[in-house]
Amino acid sequence: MNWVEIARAAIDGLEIVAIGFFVALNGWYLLLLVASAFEMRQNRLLHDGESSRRLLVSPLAPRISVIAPAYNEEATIAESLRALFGLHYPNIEVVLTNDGSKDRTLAVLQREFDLVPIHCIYRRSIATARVRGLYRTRMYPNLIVVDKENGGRADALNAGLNVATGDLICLIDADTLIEPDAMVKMVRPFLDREDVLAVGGTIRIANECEVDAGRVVRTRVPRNPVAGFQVVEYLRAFLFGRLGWNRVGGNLIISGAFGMFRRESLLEVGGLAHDSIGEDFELVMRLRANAYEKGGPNRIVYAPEPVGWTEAPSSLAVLGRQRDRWHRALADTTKRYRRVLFNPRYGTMGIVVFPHYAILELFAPVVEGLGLFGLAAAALLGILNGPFAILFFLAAYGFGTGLTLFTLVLEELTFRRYGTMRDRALLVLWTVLENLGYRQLTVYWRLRGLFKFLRGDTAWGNMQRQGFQTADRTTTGLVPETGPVRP
Amino acid sequence: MSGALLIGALRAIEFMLGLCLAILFGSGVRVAVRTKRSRPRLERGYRLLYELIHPAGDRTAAADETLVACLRAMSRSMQEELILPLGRNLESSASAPLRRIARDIGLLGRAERLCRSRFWERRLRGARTLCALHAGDTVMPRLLRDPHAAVRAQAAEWAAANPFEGVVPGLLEMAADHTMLSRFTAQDALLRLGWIATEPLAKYLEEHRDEEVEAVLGVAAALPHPAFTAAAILHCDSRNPGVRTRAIELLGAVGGAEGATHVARHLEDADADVRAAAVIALGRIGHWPRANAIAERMRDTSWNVRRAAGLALRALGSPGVLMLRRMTGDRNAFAADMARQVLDLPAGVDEVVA
Repeated sequence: MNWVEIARAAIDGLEIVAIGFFVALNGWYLLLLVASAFEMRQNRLLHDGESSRRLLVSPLAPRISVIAPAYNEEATIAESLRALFGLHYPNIEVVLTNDGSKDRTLAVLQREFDLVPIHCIYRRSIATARVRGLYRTRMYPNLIVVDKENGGRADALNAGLNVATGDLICLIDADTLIEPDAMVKMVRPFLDREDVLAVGGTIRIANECEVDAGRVVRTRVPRNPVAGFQVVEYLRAFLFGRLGWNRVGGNLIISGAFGMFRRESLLEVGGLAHDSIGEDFELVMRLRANAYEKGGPNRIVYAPEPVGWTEAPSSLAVLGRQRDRWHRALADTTKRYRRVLFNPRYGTMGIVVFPHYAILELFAPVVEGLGLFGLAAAALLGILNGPFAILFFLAAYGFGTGLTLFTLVLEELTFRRYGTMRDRALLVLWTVLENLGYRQLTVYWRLRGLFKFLRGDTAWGNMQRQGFQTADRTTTGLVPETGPVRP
Repeated sequence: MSGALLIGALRAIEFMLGLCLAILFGSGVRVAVRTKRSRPRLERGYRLLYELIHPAGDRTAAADETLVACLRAMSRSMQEELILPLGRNLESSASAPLRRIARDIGLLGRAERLCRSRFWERRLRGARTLCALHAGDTVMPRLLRDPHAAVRAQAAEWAAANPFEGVVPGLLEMAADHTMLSRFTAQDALLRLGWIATEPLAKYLEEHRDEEVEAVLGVAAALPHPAFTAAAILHCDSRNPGVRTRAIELLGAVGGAEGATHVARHLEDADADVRAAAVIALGRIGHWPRANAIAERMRDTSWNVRRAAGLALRALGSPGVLMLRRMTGDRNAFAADMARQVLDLPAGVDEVVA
């Protein structure tokens, strides 16, 4: 057997692996898509024409503590906080944690909200970096400001959790723009079922949308391709991915930018992990694993109606760092919870959901990368079956495009946030173009993440962003990312 | 994988892409056209409604019938779009003219038929229409026992907006329902019913025991009435700490010397939640002779009890604040810390951090 034959055999083997993986992954996606269509229908039947007033005026509405960590956010913090007090919910508390900001974040808060220091006494249920002070105000009796030494996002959220008094805890990023009616819609799944452990809302991309007083007042699909590709990705991830998982074993990811949890469950598992690079994913895994081990509610629900808007990275360099960190987080959490894999003790999570993430999602870039490498190698060696390769590529990318278009149809038939023909045309454009270069880049970033994980790299990297486009066309300054917003 | 198979797959994908694009852009065009067409129809509909609701003095019944016929000729969805949002924003008595029009154009009849459907989604739709228009006295009470939780919840919401004593037993039954949504809506409906629910609530509390009454005791605490005192005293001695807690909360809400005596007995309860409820109740009653006993709870081993005791002392006014000031020098550091924490709270802030 000469070297050409050996290479041909290897490439044939690669082809079989790549095709098998392609069929398995896309078959599963197709199943999720069908499940999400059913879930969406059920959701519409239950909620169309429903009055939100029942919860809005009820003295029985469960108390919600919204915990927002802030780090160097002097430019936006006052507006973000006022927007939180404008949320439509009768029983809400806002806990803002200043995570050792180096700028004037605390001074701005003191000036704008007339904060008064109170004795720094609280129940230290979860260990955190040193809390320097607690503040209250007469202006907003339901505001608690925690000033602490820098310890990272997880630590800041844990400090907030220590002082929060709500039955339900809503974890957000300080720069997430929550829609006014979102809280009522987030609470609904907790009232619908008793076994709900946490609820994740929808995250949408606010780049190039018009923002006024902490609210998105006009939605637009971004013209910037990097942000545009992410709009399409987020729609796909939320509307068919997570919605489908609601029916097929429950979700494993709640976006750190907007999620709601039962307080007692969070305290029981010790809050967010300080040593995890993907604390949101790790938290949900820990909560669900704990629920299966000890009994109690274990359902993680994605609710499509409550919306939080966030700013996505608009440069490839920042996006690349974000994606490689997300993949490192996936690898890290998979390693931590390998005991769950195919373990019937953990129900559908162990048999269906976790294997999907631990095998299909984790190794997808490896297989796709190998496929691309095999293709290039075969072309170089002159053993490429050109017509077959072209057909396979067309089928693979065509199927991916079809799934995304179906998601856009789902969005169009339900929420219709992007109402103009220009927006629709841009969405279709980004859907088609994402396969030509962007998708291959994400493969590279994820492979880089895996490589870094194997090397033990846990750095977050610099995550600078542009700031929202406000109604008066000024920007609100550079806002560093405070946590992962995994679609 | 053969080329033929791939070509077949590609054809299917091509079809799927075409279909998705057609729906995506077709839907956009359809919505734009429908909005453009429906706007004048809606405006006309609102004019018709206005004329029917504010009849001119010289208009005859035949003229009214002509207006109703115009509304009747509109599509169901248009009729619903016209009438239901208005109905949702009106009280039962104020929506009477709308109800009459809805009955005349067949909207109510259809909703009542939907409520009898064997499909839950139709029953829910019918119930929502009747709820918006405060109609359906004959069909809605039956839906309080519907097999689907969402329909039961909708019926409970209707009951809250259309109070009469007949619905209270159904709501009380629902208040201990096995599904959270039904329980929540029923309890909320009982609260909104107010005094109408008082007598049946008191009777229910006297006749039922333990888990069955826990949720209802909570409702009663939000509707405090002396009629609940006897039942609350009875349940104070329940073996279930949850029931004891709720009963004490109820006594605290109702007030009175008799209640305060029974509450004070539970300052030494074995369960921390019960002790916390007892100090809060005494604070709420404003029972200052028990200030020393409440202050003693500031040294409790449970954070929740200490926190409750601090807030209770603050609620007592001057004697309590004096006691809190004294506690800042207490040898028990936990008690002193909590006293400082409570004294620090700005006016209007009623909750200590967790």
